[in-house]
Amino acid sequence: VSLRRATGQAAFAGDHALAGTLQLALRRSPHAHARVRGASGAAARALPGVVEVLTHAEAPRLFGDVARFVGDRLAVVAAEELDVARHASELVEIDLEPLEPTLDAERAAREPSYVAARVAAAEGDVDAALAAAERVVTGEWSLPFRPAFSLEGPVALTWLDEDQRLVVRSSSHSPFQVRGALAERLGVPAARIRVERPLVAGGGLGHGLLQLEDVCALVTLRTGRPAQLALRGEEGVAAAAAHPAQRVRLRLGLAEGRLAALDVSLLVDLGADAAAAESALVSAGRQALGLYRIPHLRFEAVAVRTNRPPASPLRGADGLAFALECALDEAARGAGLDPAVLRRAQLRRPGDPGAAVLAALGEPAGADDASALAELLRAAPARGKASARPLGVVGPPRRHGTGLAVARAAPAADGRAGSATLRLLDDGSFTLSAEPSIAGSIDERTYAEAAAKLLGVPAQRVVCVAADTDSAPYPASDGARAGGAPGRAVEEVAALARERIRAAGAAALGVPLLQASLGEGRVAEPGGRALSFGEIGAAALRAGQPLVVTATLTAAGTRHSLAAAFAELEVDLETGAVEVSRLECVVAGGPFDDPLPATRQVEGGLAAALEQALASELCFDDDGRPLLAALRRLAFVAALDVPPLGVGFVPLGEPLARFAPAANGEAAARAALAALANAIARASGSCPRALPLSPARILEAIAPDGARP
Amino acid sequence: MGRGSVLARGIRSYHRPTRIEEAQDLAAQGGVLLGGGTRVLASDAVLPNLVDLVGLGLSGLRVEDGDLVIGACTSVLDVADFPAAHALSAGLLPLAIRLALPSRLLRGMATLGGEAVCADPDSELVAALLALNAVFMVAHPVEPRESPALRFLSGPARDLSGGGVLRSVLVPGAPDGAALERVAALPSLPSVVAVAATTTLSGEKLARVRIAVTGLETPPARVIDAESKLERTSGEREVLADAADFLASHAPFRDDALASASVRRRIARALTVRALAAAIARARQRSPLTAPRSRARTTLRLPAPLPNYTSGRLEINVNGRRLRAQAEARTTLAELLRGAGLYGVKAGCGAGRCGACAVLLDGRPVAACLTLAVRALGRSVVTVEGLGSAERPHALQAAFAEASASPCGFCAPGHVLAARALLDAVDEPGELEVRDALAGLCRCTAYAGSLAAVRAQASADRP
Repeated sequence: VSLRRATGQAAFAGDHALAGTLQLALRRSPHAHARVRGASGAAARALPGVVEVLTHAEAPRLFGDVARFVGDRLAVVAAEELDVARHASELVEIDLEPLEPTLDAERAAREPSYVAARVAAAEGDVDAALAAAERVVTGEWSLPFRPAFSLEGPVALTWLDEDQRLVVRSSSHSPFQVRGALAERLGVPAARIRVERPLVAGGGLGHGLLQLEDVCALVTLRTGRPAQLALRGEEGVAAAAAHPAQRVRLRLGLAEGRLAALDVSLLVDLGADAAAAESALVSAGRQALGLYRIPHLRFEAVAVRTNRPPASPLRGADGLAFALECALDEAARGAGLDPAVLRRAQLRRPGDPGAAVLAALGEPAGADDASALAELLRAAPARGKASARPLGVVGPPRRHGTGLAVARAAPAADGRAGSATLRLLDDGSFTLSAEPSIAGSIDERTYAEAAAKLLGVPAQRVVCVAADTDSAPYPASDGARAGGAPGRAVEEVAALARERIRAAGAAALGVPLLQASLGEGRVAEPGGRALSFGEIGAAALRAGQPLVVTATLTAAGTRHSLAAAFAELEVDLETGAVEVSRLECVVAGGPFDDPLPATRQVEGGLAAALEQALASELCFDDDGRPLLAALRRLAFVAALDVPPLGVGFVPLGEPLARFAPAANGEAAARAALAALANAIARASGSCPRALPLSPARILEAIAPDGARP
Repeated sequence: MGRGSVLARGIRSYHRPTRIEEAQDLAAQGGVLLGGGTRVLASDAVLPNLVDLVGLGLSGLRVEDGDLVIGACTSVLDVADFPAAHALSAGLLPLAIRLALPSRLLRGMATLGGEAVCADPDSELVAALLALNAVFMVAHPVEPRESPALRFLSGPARDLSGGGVLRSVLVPGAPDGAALERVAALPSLPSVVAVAATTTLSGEKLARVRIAVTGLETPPARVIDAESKLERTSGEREVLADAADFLASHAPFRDDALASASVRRRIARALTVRALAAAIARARQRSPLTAPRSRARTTLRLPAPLPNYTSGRLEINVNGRRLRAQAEARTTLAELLRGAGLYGVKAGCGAGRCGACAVLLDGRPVAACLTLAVRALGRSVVTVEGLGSAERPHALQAAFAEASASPCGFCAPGHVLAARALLDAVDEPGELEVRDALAGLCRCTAYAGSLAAVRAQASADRP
């Protein structure tokens, strides 16, 4: 955190106010599935202080004729005060005809109209290989819907600027996507819209349109006034994107201590929106199946749309990787093999069988993660063992267990990139325009420092500003969660600028480029003459050729993030309680100038894994209503819950490595999730296959009801 | 005003009586009583007329004839920090408070009376008050009474209808031993089941045993028939098992998304044996649960009376300067401060969970989202902006930046203020105390940076 943030000076999406702002409240569906037969805002409009009421009748593109989940938006009220808007939203008359909801993902998978995407790929003879295998692990794993939660809930503020252009400030991470969607939905040319990029709180909310911006924008366009909509507390959790539910069926065959065959089917419940369904399945398959050499492989995946809240996986669904790591561990336990040794023996190298399936899933040709993974598999258990107590019984009723797993996570969705622009001013200072990394440990200060270091000037000489849709050079700069890409663009742009300045200095000094050296804010020649950056910048401006450099980096060619995790814990056999005593992770990456930000990112992944493994779940009643008791009861990991953590890096020797990709944290989270499950399985003898691994589930897995352990 | 509010509960008026009779009258007319605000203001209830009890002088702790008397408006943090509260409950009361409210911020706000009146089904504190056989002193216009725990804690706001106001809670003289066992998915989450037990010996035999359990369809309850199985025994293993079996099979355990009733029953059985064994062992060894270190407590100034406030201009000292701002009865302190441009007071969850809106009110941290602005009238508020600026940061803020805490930074102001309040109150806090004080959530990290920053600052503070 920069000093600006530690002192509360940094402004987040909601930290902005304009005089005369209308406060908005949404009317939401009480049914998981219903047809809107009619809507009238008359009663709401009659309330003093209400300025605008929009329903399906006035804004059919924003409020559809079908409510698709409990909490789907049906109408908006804009009023001078929030209380009035909230009260009036309850007075909007909406005639709903409840329809049969589709809540069962298995059933949805059989109905073509509910299937959002299907992906299948196969190689070899899976059934024969499984029949011939010495050991087969069969099972079904399930992962629940989970709430996504940022400390700052979804928020949007829109207004018209002096030129009557629409300005949007929201907590979405993707300003260009927001601009595109607004242009389409509102029929406003994209050039008439500016989307700001304020700081956004971490936590994985808010990709793409948040279902707030369009409503605010329409109110602003119709009334000419600023409009704000903020979801707080339970409303923010209920209406915001969740993590999707997943089910994995799997048969895994081991022959001669090797992974011989894998037959796997993945079902992802994306809820009401089911956006980007195919890419979610493809990357889920690639990330999990690309780890190992699997001669006989069948992968079938289906994503369905149901009447649950919209859920979207950030970088592919994580269920497949989880199930595979659990099943492999179970096979190792059954065969009496060391789980690290078993994994190391199967790491996939280019040219291994299974290549056709992976190519179909978008694995880059020649990708080779095997040596890095082998290194991680040596490092992670070694870190763990250094601190481990002897295995086995701790003394009734507690048993000790350790677990291991590896994972890889994709970089941001295909084609996403980072860009940066740097210009030299006539006083020798620089302005740098770059996208702040959202999830990352990176902000304007780190960007400025990185650029200053490469340019050889003090950090105060570089002023970094966050780019918005007007000033960012490329729409590709959406999705800065990739973290690495914008950071690397900063490094790239600084390196390019350095060369441009050296060349300009050499030309002005009248010496060949090779004789010009750059340092301490000036360009010098061997004879001792020198020009300061300020002089070079001023000359460039006078010549009508200002020194402005833009760099953009595409994500293509960015490698997967790789991690291995090691968990150590105790299970109470009488109560199912789990006490994690240590969580270790080794990530491929670095070397870093300052490893602390990258370390914090990975630690965050480990804490998220702990929450997901042991507690996180969004439950529903039989009618598809999310069970959101008071917010204070939802399972979010707190400082008290975090066990001692260890983070290490296995350097990849990459040249521009100051900025770690955010996917590092995600690889760590996935590896740790499976490592925790594997440790519970080793401690208790059997691990439930449904997340979260709550005390109740573990107790039932150890000894079914009635039996005593 | 109203921006970012979650307190749109139809609050129209705010009353701050100074005499308990006024409070009774207002309550009898349907006014909603407000203690610390952590439950009432975080609920969905419609609260047209609020009656703030803070002006009644009902906070404070004293020992009377060997009993502990706790004013209903005493914060549970003050209860837990009071040495006699530890001694007179065999350590049970402070422990239960920490487990029931695993956030130092909320403990500083929540009142003992409020926690008892709400009778939350999962509250370890309610279970502890049952196991300690507390007595609840209710002022009432018609029938004032001393309501025993078994009765008062059997449901929310028992014995208060018709204008009752809980005045104080009496915890009778100490049991010889006590224990509290719980199971939760994570330490900071509500328990699936918790069991509180107290024991009193007569020679080698158990003279009195009380067992209270949570995770029921009802508020926490005692299982008296299980208790009587133990009395006059020496607490042998089989007797404990017998009592635990009885409890497990007779208490009405809850079936919900967290656990089925039958799983709760199994967990309760195991926890009952453990809690009883521990309480008996402690009674025999006369070694109560670990004592907390006593702390310097800031005395709360008693605010001036404020009858029927609906709206007006409030004058508050904010970061050493006078701030005058318009506030309705429903306006929260967070709204008021943000309205004055102090965006370091973050608009977070609005339920006291995330801690991002923390400010110091007369030196004590409060969640500004659950504090009505009118409560700050005439008092002094410090926000994160008041600690330091990027140009002249407070040492703690510099330590946070140095430790690379909180990448996105949204939680940083809350953590910095929570840390500041902890270090003001406690010399050389231990690891658990620091983690417990940083109860505000962070969604980016595992808190390691924040913890490192507080540790660094704590050792820098050491003389």
